[in-house]
Order: sequence, then structure tokens, then C-alpha cells
Amino acid sequence: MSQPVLKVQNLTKRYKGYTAVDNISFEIPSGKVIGLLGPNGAGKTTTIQMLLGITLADKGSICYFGRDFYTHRQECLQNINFASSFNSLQGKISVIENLKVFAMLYNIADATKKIDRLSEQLELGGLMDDLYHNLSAGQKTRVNIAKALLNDPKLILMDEPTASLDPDISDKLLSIIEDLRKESHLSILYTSHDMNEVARVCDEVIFLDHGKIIAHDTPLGLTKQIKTATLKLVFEGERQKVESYIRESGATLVHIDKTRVQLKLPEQQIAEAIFGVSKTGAYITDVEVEKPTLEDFFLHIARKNT
Amino acid sequence: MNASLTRIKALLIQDLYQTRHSSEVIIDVIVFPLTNVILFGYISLYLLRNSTTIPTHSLLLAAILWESLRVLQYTVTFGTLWNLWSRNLTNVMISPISVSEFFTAFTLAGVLKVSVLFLIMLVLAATLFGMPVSAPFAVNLLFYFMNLMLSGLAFGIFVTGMIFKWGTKINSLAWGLIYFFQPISGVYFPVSVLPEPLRSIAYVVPMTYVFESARSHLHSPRIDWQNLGMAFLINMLYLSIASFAFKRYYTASRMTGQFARNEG
Repeated sequence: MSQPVLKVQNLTKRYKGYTAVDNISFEIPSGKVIGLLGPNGAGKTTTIQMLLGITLADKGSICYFGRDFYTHRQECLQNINFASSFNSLQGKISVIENLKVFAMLYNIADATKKIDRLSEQLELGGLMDDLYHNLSAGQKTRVNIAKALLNDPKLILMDEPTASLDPDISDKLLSIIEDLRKESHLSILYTSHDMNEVARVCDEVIFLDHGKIIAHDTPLGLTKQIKTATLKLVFEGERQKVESYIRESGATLVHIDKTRVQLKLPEQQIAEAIFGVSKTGAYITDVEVEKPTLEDFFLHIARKNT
Repeated sequence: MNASLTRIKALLIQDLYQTRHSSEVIIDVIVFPLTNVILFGYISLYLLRNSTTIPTHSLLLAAILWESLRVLQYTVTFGTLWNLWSRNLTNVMISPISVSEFFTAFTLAGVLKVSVLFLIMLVLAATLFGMPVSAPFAVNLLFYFMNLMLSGLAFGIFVTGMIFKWGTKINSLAWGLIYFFQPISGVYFPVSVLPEPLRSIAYVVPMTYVFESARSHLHSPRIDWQNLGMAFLINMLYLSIASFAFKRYYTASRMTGQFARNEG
């Protein structure tokens, strides 16, 4: 098995009165996209900041490519990069000027060629001479991604890269990320609040809550931890009979009116519930089953703690 | 070119781009200093007509030297601030650049700007206001310049560290701190004018020796090794203190999370 691009062990960060990150350990294998999820205050951003060295850990170790980050800082930083919707490039200088500066900071050989290629890939051609602060949010994000790709990183840390983008631009960005994965053996640590996005691009998800890792699995694996599904039925029949059957069955009644009923119940009881409703004399005209999503898992965790 | 020099060049070029696009920088590092030279030039001419006892051109020279110091400190500190205000500092600091390369770049940017500015100010002073610049005095001038660059760097590093630790709420120190030292550095008047407690404080400020020397040696053919030497020694002490303080402030800001919070 190849060496992980990132190995985090017992990482801890305490601030006055609370522990932001509590003894977390995880690895990112080469070529994988790992999502870092959790409610606000879960410790995602603090974790990313420690991984970049802009916040210092109280305890634990960070190793990139088998080398300790604190003792091999330059070597590690040369091979990783970062993109976030919360950071920008220099606003008062142009896009091309910003990219030239970062190409030199990363000591890129043949920087012009590299910038041209990224410009084409990310459709920045018409923006190169524009001042960065004059760009739209979507354009800035594409430029930030170009900056993050300049040094051909083996790992990119992405902190909510699609925040503040409209759905169309977000979709384009996700397509770019998917393309990058296909073309290179890039690893990504990805934080986002959008569960669909995470389910789309991430191979595995690390779920943080109150600074601790409470789950680490594939998106599908996490959703399987939610045992209940939602069943929606459209029926013709006596509402009272249907309602009393559902209440007696132990399923959770979410909504009922003259023709529709929505309930939550364990997945294996769905067939039994449909059969039971039809036995009340109701004629079922439509059946819809919603399996649990990553968002359900997220809400399950978030609500458990409120 | 080796990687370290390329990284230094990167921030030098960033500063050049920033200067080219920013009217604020052009006003701060070109317009204000030249306006000051013209102002003190006319004050000098006025005093020259009405007094024979005041070394009139020393005011003009003091203005030139003060502006050189201010512009260097400004460039070192604002190199960081422009990145911070743009929320680009994290991007820069997570590149392979080291802190010493970071400051070397902005110090070089400052020295380049001040060198050009210094020459323009001297030419203006000599041609418009008749300030004498003899060959021996030019050697003194060169040493004044070097000492003031060291002072500006020490102040720049110290203020940058403070901003890292306490955040942008104190960023007015970036252009304001140096002015607290102006009254006790003997810039426009001799230190002997100051009352005793302030006079003693003045002699632990490196710039004092430069300005005292400039005032007394404007018409002298000899090099003022005594004042220049003292200024250099105290500058080295200031630079050591500033570097030590910066290291502590930078570490503290990363420990408390302030460094990341500085960019909002």
C-alpha cells in the first residue's frame, strides 16, 4: 500500500475554555478526495488552519508524504496548496500579475506555459488583465483554483470552495474538480456545507462534531447509519383508518391529509407498511420512498447536539 | 536562480505591481515626501533670509532623511498589510516562503524605492534650494541612509509582529508608531533642547545620532564615525529586539488563532 499523502495523529487544539479540535487522527491516501464535514464550530476550519501551519497545534503530529510538517515545512508546502472562498488574492493587481507572483513563490519552471494552460483549462483567458477585485465571485473562485494548481500539488486543501457561488458556477467547479481527479492523481481534503456536493466528489467523509471525529466512512456508509427512510403514499380511502393503523404500527407519522400520508420508519418495514395501509381498505395510487441522504446524517448529528 | 532568491523576487515584483496600481502608495511614498522637501525647502529659504545663526539647510536635510526612514518602514509594514487587507496573506504564508525571505523581499523593495526617492529629494534640495552636497558629506549621507534603513526595518518588523498578534485593529501603528519617536529623535532640533528625562531617552533611539550628526556635519569635510558607529550599534540592538519580538508575536498569533482571524 502506498504512503498516505497526509497523516494526522492525535491533533489537538484548545482555546480558552474549549477544545476546538480534540485528539483527531486520520489519513488521506493518494488520489482520494476526503470530505471534512460537521456543523458550525465542529473544528473543520481549525483543522485546516493547523494543516496549513497558520494555526499551531497544542498536541499531535502532521506528516505530509511521510515527512513531519513542522520540521520539513518548505518541502511539504511545495507539494500542497489551498483554495478557499474565504481567502482572496491581491485585489489591486491583475489576475496575471497575481499568478506570476505565485508561480515565482512556488518556483515554477516555465511559468508562462503553466499559466497559459491553467487559463485555458479554467476559462480565464479574458480575465487575465482584469484587476482581481473587479472579478465576480465565480471568477475569483476559478482564479483561486488556478493559483492552487500552479505548483502541481499532490494535495489540495479546499475550504468551502463553492460558498457564495450560484448553483451553475458551483456545478462547473465540481466538474473541474472531477476532471482534475481523472487527469492527475490529485488528493483533496474538502470541506463544505453542501451535502450533495460532498456526496458527489468525495470518496470518504470524516464527520467532525465538537472537535472529535464521530464518523469516518464512505458517503453511502454514513447514510446507512441512518436506519429510517421516508415513505410517502397517495391513497383513496378513509383517512382515520389509515392514521390509526400507522400509529399502531410504531412508524412516525410526519404528515397526513385526505389523500396523502408521509411517515418515517425502518427501511425493512416499508413493504409491511404499504401492505398494512392497503389492508385498511385504502387504495394506494402512488408510492415514493426516500432513502436517507448524507444531509439526513448531518441533521441527525447536528440536532442531537442542540 | 536559486529557489530562495526566486521567492524573494516574487514579493519584490508583487510590491512593484502593487505600487504601480495603487494611488495610495504613490501618494504615500512619492507625493508626500516630495511635498515635504518643497515645504522645508521654502522654510529654509525663509530662515536663511532672516537669520544667520540657524543652520537652515539642516531642516531640509532632516526632512529628506526622515522621509527616507518613514518610506522604508512603510514599505516593510505595508507589504504585509496590503496582503492582509486583500485576504491574501494566508496564500503567501502557506507557500514555501520563509519569514526571513518575506522580510528580505519587502526590505529590498523599500530600499529600492527609498534609493530613487532619496536621489530625487537630494537633487531637488540642491537645485531648487541650494543645499550644499559636498563629496565628503556624501559619504556621511550614505552612512545616514544605511543607518536609517536599519532603523526603518527594525520598526517595520516590530509593527508587523504587533499586527499579527493583536490584529488589524492596531494597524494605524503601521504609519503612526514612527511619529511617536519623531520628537525625541532630534529630527528638526537638537536634543539639547529637550528636558532631561526626554534627553536621556533620545540617546537610546538610533535615529537621534543620525539627525544630530546630519545637523552638525552638513558643512564638515570629515566623516562622523562616532555618531554613525553609535547609531549602527543601537540599530543592531533594535533589530535584534524587533526580530525576537516578531518571532514571539508571530508564534503567539498562531497559537491563539489570531493569525487566521486577521483575515476575517
